[in-house]
Amino acid sequence: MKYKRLASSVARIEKQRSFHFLSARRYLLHARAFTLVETLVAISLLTIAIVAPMALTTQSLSSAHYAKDQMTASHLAQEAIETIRHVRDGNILKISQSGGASVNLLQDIPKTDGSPFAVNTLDDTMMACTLNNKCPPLQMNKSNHLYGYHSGCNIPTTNDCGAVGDWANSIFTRTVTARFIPNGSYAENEVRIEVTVEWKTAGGLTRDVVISENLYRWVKDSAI
Amino acid sequence: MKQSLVNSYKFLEKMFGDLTFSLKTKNSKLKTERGFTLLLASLVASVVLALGLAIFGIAQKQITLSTIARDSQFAFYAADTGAECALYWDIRDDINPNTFATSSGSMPIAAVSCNNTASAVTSSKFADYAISEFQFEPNGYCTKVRITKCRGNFNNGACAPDPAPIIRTLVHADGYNVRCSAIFEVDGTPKSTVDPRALQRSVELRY
Repeated sequence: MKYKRLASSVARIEKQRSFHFLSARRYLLHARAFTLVETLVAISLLTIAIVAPMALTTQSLSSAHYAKDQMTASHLAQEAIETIRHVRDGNILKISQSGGASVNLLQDIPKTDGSPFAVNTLDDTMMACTLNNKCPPLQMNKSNHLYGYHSGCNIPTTNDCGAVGDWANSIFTRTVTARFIPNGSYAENEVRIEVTVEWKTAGGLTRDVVISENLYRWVKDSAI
Repeated sequence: MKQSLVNSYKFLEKMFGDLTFSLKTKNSKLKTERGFTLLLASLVASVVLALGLAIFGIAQKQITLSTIARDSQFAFYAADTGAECALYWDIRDDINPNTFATSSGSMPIAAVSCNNTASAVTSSKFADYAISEFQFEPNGYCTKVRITKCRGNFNNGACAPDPAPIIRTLVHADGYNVRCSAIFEVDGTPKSTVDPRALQRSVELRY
C-alpha cells in the first residue's frame, strides 16, 4: 500500500516532470526557431529595404542624366534655329546696306524640300546631309567644349566625322530640315525650320527634342 | 525498492532541475537580445530608404525643370513665329498694303495667312491708336499676336498721343506650349482655369 502510493506519486512526479521536460524542450525549440524566423525576417527586410532604394536611386540617377541631356539637347536645338535666323537677318542687313533687293534672304539654307542638313554654329555653315539622308553625330571640342564639326569633316559625304585633334563625337545628333509653306499666292515666302536633336541614353533608349519655327521673308528680297 | 525510487526521483529532479535552470539562463539571455537584429535592420532600412527618396526627389525636380526648359522653347518659338508673321504682313507693303488697322486708316485686312492657315483679324479703333489681334497654331502651339498702331509714342506699352504724324507700331506676341483651345475660349477671351503646366513666353517688337 505504502509502496503503491509512493509508486503512484513518483509516477505522478515523473508525469509532471516529463510534461515539464517536454514543454521545456518545446519552449527551447520554439525559442530557437524564433531566432531563425527573426533572422529570416531581418534578412528579407534588409534585402527589400536595400534593393528597393537602390533601384530607386539607379532610376533617379538615370533620370537626372536624362534631365541634363534634355537640357543640353534643347539648347543645341535652339542654337541651330538661332543660327539660321541670324544668317537670314544678316541677309536683311545686306539688303538694307546695299540699298537694293539683291540678296535672297533664305539663300544659305541648303535644302528647302524637307531633306536633312547640318548646321555648324561655329562658322554658320550649313551643309546637306546627302549620304543616306542622315547627319553625322554632332561633335564636341575637348579643349573649349564647343559643339560643332571639325573643319575637315565633309558632311554631305559622311555619316561620321571621326575623332580628329580635339574633336570627338558627342552623344547628340542634330538634324535640321526646312520646308516652304505656301503663303497666299506666294509659295516660298514662309519656311518652317525644324530642328531635331537626338541622343541615346545609357539604357539604350533614343530620345529627342524637336523645336520648330517659321521664318518669313518679311523684307522684299531678290526672290520675288 | 523504496530507496531506489526516491533516488531516481532525486536524480530526475537533479537532472531536470539543472535543465530548467539552464533553460532559464538561456531564456533570459534571449529576452535581452530579442529584436536587436530587427531594430538594426529597420534602422538601416529607414536610413537607406530616406537617402533613396531624397535622391528621387532631386531627380524628379530636375526632370520637371528640364521639361519646363524644353516646353518654354516651344512657347518661345511659337511667340517668335507669331511676331514674324505680323512683321511679314505689316512690312511687306508690296504684297499686303494696309494690313493692320490704324486709327485713321482705311479698311484693314480681315484675315492673315500664316502657317498655311487663314486667321481672322479682329480690329478695334480708338482716337489715337488701333489694335489688331489674331491667333494661330504654328506646329500645334498657340500664339496670339496683338498689333498696336499708335500715332505718337509708346509709354509702357500704352499709346501716348503725339500730334507729330508718325505712326509707331508695337507687335506683342504671346506663345504657349499648348493649343489655343487650352488657353482661350472660342470668343478669344482667356479661360478662367488653365492647365498648370501651360507656359507662356512673349516677344515684343517696336518700330
